[in-house]
Amino acid sequence: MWKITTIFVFLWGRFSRQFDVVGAKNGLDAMAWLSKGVLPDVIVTDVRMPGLGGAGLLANLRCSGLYSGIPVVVISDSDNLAEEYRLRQLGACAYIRKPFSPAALQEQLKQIVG
Amino acid sequence: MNYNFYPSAPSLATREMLFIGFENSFDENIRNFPYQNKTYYFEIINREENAFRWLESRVNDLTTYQMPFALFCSLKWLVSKGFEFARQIREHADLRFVPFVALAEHGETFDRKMLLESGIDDCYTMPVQWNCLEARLDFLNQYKWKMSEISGQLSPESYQYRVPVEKRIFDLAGATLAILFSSVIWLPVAVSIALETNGPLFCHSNRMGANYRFFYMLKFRSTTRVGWLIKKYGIDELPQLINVLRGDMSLVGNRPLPIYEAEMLAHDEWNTRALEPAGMTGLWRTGQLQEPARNAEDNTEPTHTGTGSYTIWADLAIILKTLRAYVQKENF
Repeated sequence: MWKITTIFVFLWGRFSRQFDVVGAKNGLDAMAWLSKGVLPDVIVTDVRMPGLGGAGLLANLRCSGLYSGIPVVVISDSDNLAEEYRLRQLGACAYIRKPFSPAALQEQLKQIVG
Repeated sequence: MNYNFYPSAPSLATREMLFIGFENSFDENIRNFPYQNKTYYFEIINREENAFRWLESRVNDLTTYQMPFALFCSLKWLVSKGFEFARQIREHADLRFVPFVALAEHGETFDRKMLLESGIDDCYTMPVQWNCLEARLDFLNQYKWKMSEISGQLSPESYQYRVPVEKRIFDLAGATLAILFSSVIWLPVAVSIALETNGPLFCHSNRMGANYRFFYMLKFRSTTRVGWLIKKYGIDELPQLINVLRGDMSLVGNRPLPIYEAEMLAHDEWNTRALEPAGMTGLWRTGQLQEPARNAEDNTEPTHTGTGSYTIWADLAIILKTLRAYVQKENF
């Protein structure tokens, strides 16, 4: 839990001035939050999370009728190309490797949100 | 048909689905519907009370208890009933956990938020692929009960650093005292900087504080002859006391990272740094952490954890160690 939220500390601290940032500690929490009826402009998710991970979350969003249109940016600490390929096949609109430049992520988000 | 009577308990492997508000030819709209798959069993019931009875019969008797795999409603039918049926399901002790999917016809519009609030888990516009539905239903069957128990959203306390009140008081008192004691230095330094150069008294650089907030850290400008003296004795850092009073940083905390270092990496571990205030001194200055930490991974060790383990004594000990190291270095 600690480690998971710390990447969020960074994302929240870095982006909360430009975006309205909401955090969830894993994919299941994200799905629970979505089921409250909110529609985010973009989801940024880590691949490795306890419980429902990034790939599970992405697959779930894509097979949903209500959430399939939400753009998803995936952050991973793996340099496994197969993983990137699989996540892109699942519909990730960006795949970012750690360590990453916050400026690059910001650029991605701007492109997606418009 | 008597819905209270169930001839034999379905096999646990059977996945029962109920379709409400559909014609017999509904499957045109669900591509690759699993007719051949014996695991799936479905029924179409279009009368509200019969449908409800069918569902209840699955969960009323403990000997034959089996939660239906899914409940499909035509959106048109749901709207025509004013979502009363959805309310009944939502309020039922067991049936509220059955995955509830609305199917809209092509071109039919709907209010997402309203559907979700009515207790509907998902809504698809037909035609829809069965494998897509199946994956979603598998997820809902596994987790729907759990999702109702969690808020989903992280509470700000779990990711935001708040300065403990006693630390803030300690900082304010410490910084005020330090400014009073060092006031004899401030004036001559200010005068000599003003005499030697035309520029401003302070220079500032953008540094990272708690919660990844950036602030301008003040320093005496030290570029000329007076400069080296100011730098040698660390006098250029005294204006940081103003930052402490302002609340940008603390007396004791992490090394305030310049923006280019803070922007460099985003390791999970490294981000614990954002849960601590930046400080004028800290373990990094007393030699208990490796410094300079050019590599962000060296910064994993926090001075304090931002979650209540703070004590004034720890801060005081670090300040005294810093002062001792300072005096020893200068051989006073």
